[in-house]
Amino acid sequence: MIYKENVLKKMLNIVFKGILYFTIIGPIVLLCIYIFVERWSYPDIMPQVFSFRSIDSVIRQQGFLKLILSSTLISVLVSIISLIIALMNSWFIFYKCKDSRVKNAVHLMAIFPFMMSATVFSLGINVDFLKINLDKTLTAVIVSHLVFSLPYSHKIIYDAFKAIGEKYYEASKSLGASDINTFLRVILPLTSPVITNALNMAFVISFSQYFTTLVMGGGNVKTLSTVIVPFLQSGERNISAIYSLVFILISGVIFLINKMIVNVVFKNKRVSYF
Amino acid sequence: MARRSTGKINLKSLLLILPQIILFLIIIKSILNSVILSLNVSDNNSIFNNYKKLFEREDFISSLSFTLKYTFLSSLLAVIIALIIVEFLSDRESKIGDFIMNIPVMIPHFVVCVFLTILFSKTGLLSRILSYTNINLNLVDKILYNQNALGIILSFLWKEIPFIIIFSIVIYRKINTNLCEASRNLGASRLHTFLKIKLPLIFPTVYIAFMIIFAYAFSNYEVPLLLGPNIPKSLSELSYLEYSKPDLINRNYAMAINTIILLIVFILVLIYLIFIRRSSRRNDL
Repeated sequence: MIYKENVLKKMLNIVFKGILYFTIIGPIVLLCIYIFVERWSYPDIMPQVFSFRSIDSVIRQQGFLKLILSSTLISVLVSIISLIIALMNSWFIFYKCKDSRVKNAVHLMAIFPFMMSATVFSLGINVDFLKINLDKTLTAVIVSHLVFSLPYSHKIIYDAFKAIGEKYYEASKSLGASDINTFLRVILPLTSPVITNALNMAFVISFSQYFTTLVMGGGNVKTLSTVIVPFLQSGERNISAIYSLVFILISGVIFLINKMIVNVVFKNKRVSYF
Repeated sequence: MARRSTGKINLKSLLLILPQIILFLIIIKSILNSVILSLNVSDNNSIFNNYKKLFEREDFISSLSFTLKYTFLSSLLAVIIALIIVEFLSDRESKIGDFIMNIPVMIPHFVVCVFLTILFSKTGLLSRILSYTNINLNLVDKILYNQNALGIILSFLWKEIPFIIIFSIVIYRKINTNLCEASRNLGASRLHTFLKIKLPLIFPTVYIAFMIIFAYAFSNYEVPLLLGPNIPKSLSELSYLEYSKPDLINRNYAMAINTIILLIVFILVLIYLIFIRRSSRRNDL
């Protein structure tokens, strides 16, 4: 009786998981098929003609490579800067500040943009950026991306520092290490498992900013997202599908590179504290 | 005693949080700009004239209710569905499962819009399948570009449910192992355990996640632009439209709309703060 119930439960669990995972992976698989479609007349479920033609036309477009490179570089830069700021924040909060009110204030400052809307921020600050001729520049775009990606990297790094605690820092300091040595040799290796996460998350947030890039870049700074949305708007589904897949592929490549870099840098320093 | 020794902070270490402070000041300045410009009126009107005019406009009212509707529905549904999934899936940790759950978090909203248009548009996959089965529900027409905002809600759900799961599953697993076994051992039913023990413990985390996705969905620009109807527009769209008009007075309207967006999000935060204070007081007692 109990055995039967367990089998039923397991079956239900598998079906439940299957549906769940299918709804996540299904659309991506569909996207991968869709980019090869050349002709697909209406009531048919299967496309008639597959080809590389639309992929070819997108790749041959002028400035395609430049667009990809520049928008990837912007986001990589943003992810690195926000990682550095997040590390500095947490270093201050956990080791340099003893006043819990100041600690809380810094933490709240860092996670405040979670509640901030992109519309309000971009339109609001653009008024000032117009005055000091900073609108439509790369700097404006990077600053606005930083604002929205920093809370994510901060949250990830903050949680890691919280899990590490103060004991390693104090041990290292009492053995005579300097702050920089303590950071590079003790704390940074300890945070290495989440550094990839922090970089990835910040990268994705920056990479997928549409409205902020549109307003702050003002058409001068183009990223992949500001190119995809107009295509979708005008109903060119095929081209936007290809760009979307390029988007996903680049993210995947960046994630792999981040992981590899972290693995190489922190070789033989595997830690787990969760 | 302990307090006195804690007071001073090394000036050099303040440099560590300098970038954070500068970014925060930029954000505050953007809020200030919005509020000040929204109160900017011609001479002898009351300072809330822009707001008064806005609330007299029919398109603004319909935008506000439309945006509130899809944001509340999508955020609430996301939280409920995520809790159900977590309740049934948190028993066993699986690496593949965690990896798959991470995928939607990494995919931006406009790519989700591409998915939805491929699936649900008039020549999309669903309508093709339905045309074979002789079911004529007019279902397809009702998903995208419709005033019921089904497409918008679906696209938010696809992304936000995994986000809430990832956000809360660590705490959930912790609760699951310790307290729930005790509760189940003492004879409580699964539902009872869930309502009386898990929910109160996980509520603060889930509410934070709810606030984050609410704030995001409420001010999102591209999803309602791509999947929503022409009329009513979302608040962000309306605000950007006003902002792009050549007349400067329209910019003030845009700022007034932005201030309203901010206010509504901050009310949510305020509720959270009140809740936290009350629950911590209860714990003190």
